[in-house]
Amino acid sequence: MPTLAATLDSTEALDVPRTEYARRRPFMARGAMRRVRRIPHGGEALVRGGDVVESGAPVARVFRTGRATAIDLARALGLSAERDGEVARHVTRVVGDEVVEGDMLAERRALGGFQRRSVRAPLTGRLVHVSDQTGVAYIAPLPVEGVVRAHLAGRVTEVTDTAVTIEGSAFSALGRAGAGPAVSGPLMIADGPDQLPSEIGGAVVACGFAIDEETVRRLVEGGVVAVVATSVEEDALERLGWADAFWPRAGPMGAAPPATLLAPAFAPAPPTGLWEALRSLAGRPSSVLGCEESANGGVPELLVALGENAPSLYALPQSGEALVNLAPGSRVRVIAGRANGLVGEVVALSPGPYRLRSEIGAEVADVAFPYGVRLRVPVLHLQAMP
Amino acid sequence: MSPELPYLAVDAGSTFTKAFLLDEVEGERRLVAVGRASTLGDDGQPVPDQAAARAVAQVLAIAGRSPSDARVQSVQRSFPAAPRALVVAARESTAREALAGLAHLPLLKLEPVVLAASGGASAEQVLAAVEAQAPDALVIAGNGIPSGADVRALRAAIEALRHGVGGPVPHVVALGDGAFTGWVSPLLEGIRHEIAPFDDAELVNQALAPLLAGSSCDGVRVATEMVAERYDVDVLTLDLGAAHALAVVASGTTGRRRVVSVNRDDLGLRRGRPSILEAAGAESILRWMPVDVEVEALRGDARRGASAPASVPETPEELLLDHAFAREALRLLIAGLHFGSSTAGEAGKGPPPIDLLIGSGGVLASAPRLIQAALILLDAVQPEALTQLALDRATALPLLGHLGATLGHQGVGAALERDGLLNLGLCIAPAGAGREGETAIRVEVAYATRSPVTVEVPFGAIEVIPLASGERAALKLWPSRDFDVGLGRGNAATPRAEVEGGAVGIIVDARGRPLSLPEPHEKRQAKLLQWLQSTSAYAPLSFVQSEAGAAGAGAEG
Repeated sequence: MPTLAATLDSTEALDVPRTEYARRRPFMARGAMRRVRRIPHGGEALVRGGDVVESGAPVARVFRTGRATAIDLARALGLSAERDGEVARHVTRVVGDEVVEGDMLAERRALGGFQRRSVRAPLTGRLVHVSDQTGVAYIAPLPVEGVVRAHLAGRVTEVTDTAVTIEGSAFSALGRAGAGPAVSGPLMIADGPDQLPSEIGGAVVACGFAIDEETVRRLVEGGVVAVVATSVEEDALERLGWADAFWPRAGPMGAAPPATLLAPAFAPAPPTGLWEALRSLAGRPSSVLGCEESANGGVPELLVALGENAPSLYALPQSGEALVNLAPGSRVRVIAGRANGLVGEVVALSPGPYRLRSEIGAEVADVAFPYGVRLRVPVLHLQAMP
Repeated sequence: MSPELPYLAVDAGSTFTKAFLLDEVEGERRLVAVGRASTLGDDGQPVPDQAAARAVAQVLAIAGRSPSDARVQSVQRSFPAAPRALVVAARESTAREALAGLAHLPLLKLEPVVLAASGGASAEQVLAAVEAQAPDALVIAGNGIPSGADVRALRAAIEALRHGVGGPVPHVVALGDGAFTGWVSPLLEGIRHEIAPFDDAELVNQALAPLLAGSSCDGVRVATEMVAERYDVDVLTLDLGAAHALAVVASGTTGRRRVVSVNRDDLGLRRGRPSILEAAGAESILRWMPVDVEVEALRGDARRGASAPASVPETPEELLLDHAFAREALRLLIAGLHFGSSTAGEAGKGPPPIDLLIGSGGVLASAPRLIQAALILLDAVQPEALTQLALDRATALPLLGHLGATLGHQGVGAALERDGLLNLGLCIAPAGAGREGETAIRVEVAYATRSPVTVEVPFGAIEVIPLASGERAALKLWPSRDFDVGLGRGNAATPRAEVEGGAVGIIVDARGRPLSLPEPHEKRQAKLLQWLQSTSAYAPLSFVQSEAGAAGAGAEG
């Protein structure tokens, strides 16, 4: 799909149907892929073009400082801040100094030294400012290194000030919802709640059963880096506390969950084909991206590195990330509405808006489902399957 | 300067991106086509450039134009979120005055920070608020030259901005009288800031322009003001999008128009569904449903709305639930409209009576029957006496506002305004309550070209009297003794001017003000069904199938 700029520059008539048939990224895909990892403002790349990286390898970093802590030296020392410079006389450190929690910041002796007041640093950081006018000192926490890690294993093909592009061969499964940053580890499979692998520390664990609170607790305590819940029922989301993680309230992003979460579907059973593919990929390096700040881009997904000794996954066409046009014969999954979760095949596409039972007009597809069921489903409710 | 025609405009929403094509038709600038494409890619991530390109291609195809015929001349966005403004002041009264000075702007006004007397504490307050609320704009407000503890508090607050934020500093505005802004400006040296007086809306607009430039919500505000000025009426616009809800009231008289806005990014009908459910409660939403719905199904519906914001209701029940959420979202939104004075001690007041109620946003614009949009507006706002209803059927209100702002109000001709705003008709809602079944009001409609009709509407009922678009009629109203249509209880009214018909007609809403839904729930559901049937609001619920209803019921879906 051309960008807006290209559209405006083009003098040719665009072959875009008057429909809502967006070209679709398949729910599952395998083959050559490309992922872009955004470098946050002020960050730097750690790799160069041509480098080969594994999933989870650091590709960029940025030093972030949190907000400073204000310490009212004037009040603590019993001084008047209105007299400019009064407080500064009692400060025992220099602006720019690194201080450790508990270090003396300022001290005042009165009554010939019998009365002594001191102020100590409430945190470790750097003394960034002492105000002559207000008597307030500011200590900024030491910069913390934030690392941007490769989500896709492969070769670095481009590095700019704002992004690192990696190309590699992988299996990808999109998530309906996710929470938490990109993390990587070996892919482990759990067929049932009593079949969790024994050593799960640092792993990405995919659960092929209806996940529950006890399982999540055991996984988190076991040190997993990510949980892929291939079947999680909607009414379980509240009990798991995942609803707030997946769909946080408007406003600044909250704290990340203890493990990155990915839900490919909200259904009692894993999406067709996904579990079989994951079982054949067990043990391979994988990466899960739940949800990151928009600057880092990325959709909720699971990537499993392919390459040497990878299973063939013949059931999945080797189409990589080629977008597919919905057309008769397309395999689709329903992601909303009364047929939510079902997988079928498009039989026909409506030539224009069709009036649903709700009387809403929408473009629809006739979709054939198993057991002879055939339904008209709004195109907006369909996700392409491989 | 007149825009070059044909004129292409794009409005990028969080869920749908619209493209509008304006062109000259019989010497007038008219809206000739609208295209729409999902802003979200198949993976649920926004792809605004692609969505805009698709919407533009669609609108050009609809209008039979080629890409070389037109170029995009404006792009507005209501995505990703409403700009957040944090007021910081040394006194609570000043903070209120500042909020009043910002009231007309479609910003998300965060809980203000009233600074503590201690410098350290006030610095911490500012730093904590900036960290927790991530404002896009920080408004430092004051009156006169500060003295005493206020000096230290304000100095410390500014120092905190300068030395303590740990990241990009929000857009800073110094808001106050000349004495205050003259005092504070040197302290802000080195920090990019704007200055504006409390009571000059234009200068306040300019000061906050970087946040609102290209904002669809600001377009809605300007359009509302424009309509209020043009017809010298009090207007309330309710814009309910997928990720935001905006209310704008423009009241007063020509040259003394007062505008108040409230913008909520947690009440969008799709992305804000879980918030609406939490804030309103399941019972409040379910009370609008004439059919039984499990509370757990409600929660599931709320989550699905958030995870698949572009989904459409497939069945009448899903549509009813959508509309129930819409009613509660708008009620929560209106509750945030404050008209109180900034002086200490005076309580905030609700919105004033309005002459024109405009609905905008996806759920209202896409309502398959216009009466559905009208009922949502009436149930949420519960206007009294006589109120004209209009619908932004093409979701073009932001565009009209943008044209009004850039070309002046005269730049939006009446014809173009009508292309964007569909007149639904007049609502007559007598205030008061009475006995169920007894006549609340008698309405005589004297048509210009046919025999008059007199309708008696009992208390507890809502009726639609046909008066089509373009048709005119004279009205006479006889409210019963317990009811008031604006001239006192029981006093008859004869509007001086003829009324113009609308797409729905004349709605006589005698359900009572305030609207009270009966209990127990079987009685309530029966009453809701009665209202929906009497207005033919939802085809499968109609007692008598119209032609349109029969066709809809027969379609496979």
